[in-house]
Amino acid sequence: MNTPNTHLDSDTLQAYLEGELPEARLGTVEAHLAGCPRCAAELEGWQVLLSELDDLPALAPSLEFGDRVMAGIRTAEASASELVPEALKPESPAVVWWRRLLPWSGGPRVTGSGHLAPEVIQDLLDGALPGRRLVMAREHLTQCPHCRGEVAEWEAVFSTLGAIPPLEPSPGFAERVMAAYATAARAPAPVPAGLERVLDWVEKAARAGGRFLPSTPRSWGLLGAVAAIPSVAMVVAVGAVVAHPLVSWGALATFLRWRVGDWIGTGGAWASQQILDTPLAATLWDAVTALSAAPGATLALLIGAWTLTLSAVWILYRNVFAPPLQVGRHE
Amino acid sequence: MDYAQLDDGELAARACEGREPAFRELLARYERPVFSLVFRMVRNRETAEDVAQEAFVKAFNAIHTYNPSYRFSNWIFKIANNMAIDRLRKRELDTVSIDGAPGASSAEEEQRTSIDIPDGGETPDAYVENRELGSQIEAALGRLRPEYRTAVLLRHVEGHSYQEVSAIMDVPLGTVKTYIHRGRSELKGLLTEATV
Repeated sequence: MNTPNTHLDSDTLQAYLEGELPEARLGTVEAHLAGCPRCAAELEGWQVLLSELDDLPALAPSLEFGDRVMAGIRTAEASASELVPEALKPESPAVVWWRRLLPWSGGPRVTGSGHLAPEVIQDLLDGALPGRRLVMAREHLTQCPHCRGEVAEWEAVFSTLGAIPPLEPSPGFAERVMAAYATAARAPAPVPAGLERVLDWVEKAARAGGRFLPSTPRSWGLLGAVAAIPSVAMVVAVGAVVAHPLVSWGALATFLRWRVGDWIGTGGAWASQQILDTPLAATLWDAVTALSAAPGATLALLIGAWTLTLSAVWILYRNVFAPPLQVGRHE
Repeated sequence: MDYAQLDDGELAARACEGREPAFRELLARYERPVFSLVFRMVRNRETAEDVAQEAFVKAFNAIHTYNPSYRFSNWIFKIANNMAIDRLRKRELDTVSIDGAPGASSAEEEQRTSIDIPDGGETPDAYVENRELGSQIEAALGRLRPEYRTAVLLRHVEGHSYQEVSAIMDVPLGTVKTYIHRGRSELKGLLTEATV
C-alpha cells in the first residue's frame, strides 16, 4: 500500500523483493519504482538487507546457544564491563541496515528500555518467532546481557512447564466410561464379536476388490465401453435378423420358444442322468432303504437332527439379533 | 484385528460401526491426557473423573459426527475442555462468598452475611489431591484464568501447536498467542514470587 505521500511502504517493498506481491499490484509497483528515485533507493536498501540476511545462517546459534547465554549470565553477575563475549562477531552490514530501518521495519518488538519484549522471548524459546525476527532477536541477544538473563529465566519456566507429568484417572475409569456409554440412550447397537470377524473379512475382500476398480472417470468410461461391447453386438445381431424380409417377430418368438424348450429338456435329462448314475445317489438310496427297515433308529436320527437345527437357530439368534454388550459395571 | 495398529481416523470409522474394541482403544489412547487436562482445570479428582467420563460418552455417542479430516485428539480435547469450562462456570454460580454478601454496605452487614466453615481436617482424598496438584507449578497453574490455563496446558503439557490449540479452544490464532503469552507471564511472576 502507498503511504499518503504516495511512496511505497516497507511491506510493499519487501513483498515485491520476496515475490509475494499479487499479480494485480505488480505493474503499479514497478511503474512507481521506475518513476520514483526515493522508492528505488529504498528498494535498493532492502535488497542489500535481504541479501545480507540470506547469508546469516552461520550466526544462528545451535547447540552452543544455551552455553553462551549461561556464560553471559555468569559474566553479568561478575562484572558489567565483561558483558560482551569475545566470540561475538563485529556487526554485520545487515545489522547496520537493520538499525537504520528499525523504527519502521516490523522487527522484534522491544520494550521502552530497548530490550526484547517478553512475548518475543517466549516465541523465541517456543520456536514461534518468524524467520527474520528470529535472526534479529538472536543478534540482539548476543549483545544484550539483560535479555540473555531474561531468556535464562524464561528457559527455567519452559523447562518447569515441560516437566509437568500427566495425571492418571483412578483404576477402572475406562470400564466406567464404557459402562456409561453402553447404557446411554443414543448408543448404537454394538457389533457382536462373531459378526465382527465376518465384517472384517467383508472389509478385506472389499479392499482387495477395490484395487481392481478404476480410479478415474476416464478409466471408468473405458471399463463401461468394454462392458457394453457384448450388449451392443447382441442388439446389432438381433436388429440384423429382424430386419431380414423373411423373418417376422412372431416367427422369431416361436423359434426361440422351441429352442429354449429344447435346451431345458436336454439339460434336465442330462442332469438327472448325472445324479442318478453317481455313487453318492446309490449310497443315499441304500441308506434310505436301510433306515426304512429300522424305524427306531430313523426316529432317533430325526430327533437328533431337529435338536441340532433348533440349537443352531438359537445360537444364530443370540449372536446376531440380541447380543447384550457386556462392558463392565458401574462402580 | 490389531486395533492398536490403526490410526485414530480408522478407529473412529470402526467405532461408527459400533465395534467395542475401537472405542476401548480410543479410550486407552486419550484417557490420561484428557483426564489430566480436565483435572488441572476443575482441580478436583472426583469432578474431573465425572467430567472426563461425560466427555468420552458424549464423544462416543456423537462419533458419527466426527470429521476424520480433523485430528481426533483435537475433537476430544475440545469436547472435554468445553465441559470442564461449563463445570467451572456452574461451580462459580453455585459458590457463595464466605466473606459475606458482595452487596454488603457496612462491616456489620458483611459480618452478618458471612459464613463460618468449620475446619474438618484433611480427608484422604483431599490429601492425595493436594499432593498431586501441590507442587509450585501446579499451584501457579491453578491461579491462572481458565482460558490461559487451557492454552498453556494444551501447548506445554499436551504438546499441541498454536493452530491446534486455536482449533480446540475455538478462538482465533492471535487470541491463543495472547492467552499463552499472558498465561506464561503470570506463571513466571507467580513462580518467582513463590521462590522469593
